[in-house]
Amino acid sequence: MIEKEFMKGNEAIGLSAIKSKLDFLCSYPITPSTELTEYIAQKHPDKFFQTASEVETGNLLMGLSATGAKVMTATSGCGLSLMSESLSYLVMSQLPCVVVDVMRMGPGLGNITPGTQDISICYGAGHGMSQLIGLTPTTIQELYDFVPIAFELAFKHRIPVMIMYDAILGQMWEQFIPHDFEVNIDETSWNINGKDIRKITSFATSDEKQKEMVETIINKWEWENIPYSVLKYDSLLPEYLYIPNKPILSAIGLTARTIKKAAELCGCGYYIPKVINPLIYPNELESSEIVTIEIGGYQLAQIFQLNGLKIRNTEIFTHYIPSIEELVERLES
Amino acid sequence: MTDEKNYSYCPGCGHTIITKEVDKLLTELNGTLVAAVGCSAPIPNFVDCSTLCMPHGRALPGATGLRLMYPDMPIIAYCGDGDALNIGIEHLVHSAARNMNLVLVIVNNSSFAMTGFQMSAGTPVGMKTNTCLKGRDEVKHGIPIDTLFAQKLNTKVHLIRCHVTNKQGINQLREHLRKEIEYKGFSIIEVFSPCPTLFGNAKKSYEFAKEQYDKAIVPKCNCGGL
Repeated sequence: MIEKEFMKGNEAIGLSAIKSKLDFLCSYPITPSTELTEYIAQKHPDKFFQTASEVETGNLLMGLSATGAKVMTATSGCGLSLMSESLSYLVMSQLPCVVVDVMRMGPGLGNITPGTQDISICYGAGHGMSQLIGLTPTTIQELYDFVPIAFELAFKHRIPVMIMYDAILGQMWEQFIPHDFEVNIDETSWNINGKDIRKITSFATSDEKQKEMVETIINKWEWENIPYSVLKYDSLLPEYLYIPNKPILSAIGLTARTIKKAAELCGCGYYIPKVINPLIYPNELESSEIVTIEIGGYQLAQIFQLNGLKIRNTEIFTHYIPSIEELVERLES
Repeated sequence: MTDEKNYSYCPGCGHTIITKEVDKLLTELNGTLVAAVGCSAPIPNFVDCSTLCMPHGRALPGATGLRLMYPDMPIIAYCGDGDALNIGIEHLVHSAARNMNLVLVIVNNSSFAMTGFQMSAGTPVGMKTNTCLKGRDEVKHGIPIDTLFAQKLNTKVHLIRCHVTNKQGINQLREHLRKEIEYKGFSIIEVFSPCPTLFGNAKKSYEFAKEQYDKAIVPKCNCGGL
């Protein structure tokens, strides 16, 4: 029997990354993601590279993943903005990597308190509206479980995968089972290996090439590609309770754990997505009205609307994760 | 080298010569060329060696990433002066500080040529470009950035300067490239290159590039001594 571990969320990601045979983590310190950076730097210094800035991080990710290595970075708010140019290039150059974004509050410097405002980056990272796969775990067990899945999805579809969770989930301690697992990655035929001639570029020099490149990027989001492979993982399926003619509460990250009980007390249903792009939802939800509980903005509501779901209203908490009582009070009023 | 007609460079461009030399060397050694954005952005389409095309100014971090995974692979980062000295100066400073095992080729044509001849950090004082029609003014625009600073920062860094305006210069470039790819540290090869299309006068552009080379301080020590 596997013994349970008791760890911080960010460190659980680090443990899982090492078990996934991570090749490199390159990052620049930023609160509240620094524990992941420190975990790898202290336990596996040979797999760590501290960059000079987040701009360098994004581009270093590109260089590393061009070799077919399993690479990862840890960042938050402003760091993600600085990397967005590289994310756009990574998408067009078809390079896989995992970006862990421990979301904090606000546009600008904001605060280091939790937030859920970065999730829309999955629908348009940097210029050219480049779409990324976005996973939103709600427990530390899921943080641990999602890392190998993120690597598998990234390599299968040659695309960056984001793991996004709020600052509290990254900072809090929780018990989880550190399962043994294997990351199933097919042999790569596109990476620079020092033997074969390989060319990696995001620059189209002719109309035909441009057509081919854009079609490849768009085709990845067709039903039989990314959405289909996401559905194969049981842990990525949404948790939901559908009650006809009743509103459905929805949230991501740690907030998602409070809405289950709140939904029970208010007599409504709930829907907790574990993947934000591509959004997976049961068909019944199309007819119900959704109330999103968000920390800081309207991003989740926007994403739901984009995917054809109906929004009744959005309850915004500005700088903290609400307790069940507070949530129920707010919903009843 | 693939059919020369596929080159996207203008006729007479210094880039053509430099790309050929770099490609020949890397194809022979089975190395990787890391290009960035500028006149050299379409490089992957016409060279024979493995290539990685990075965002504008970011050739060095891309090359650093490759180096972390392959400690022995011959890697050349290929930049323009706008690339290396304007937008990518941060990476030049840090790569020099780390003495990263890389060769950086800076093709210095004293301007942003791909976008139509604007002022760059390599533009000398007095030179006229489309963003400084009266010539670069020391007070208004500041002085150009000299790559010498990298060697002041870290004396282990090799700084080599050459030009491609005559046969002797090209031969020197070839020899320097061969020598520096063996060096287990950071080498900067700054090549003064003409931009015959935008300079206005093709002959004068060659003379200007040679003049820039002659004016530039060639470091006595650590230059790889040819």
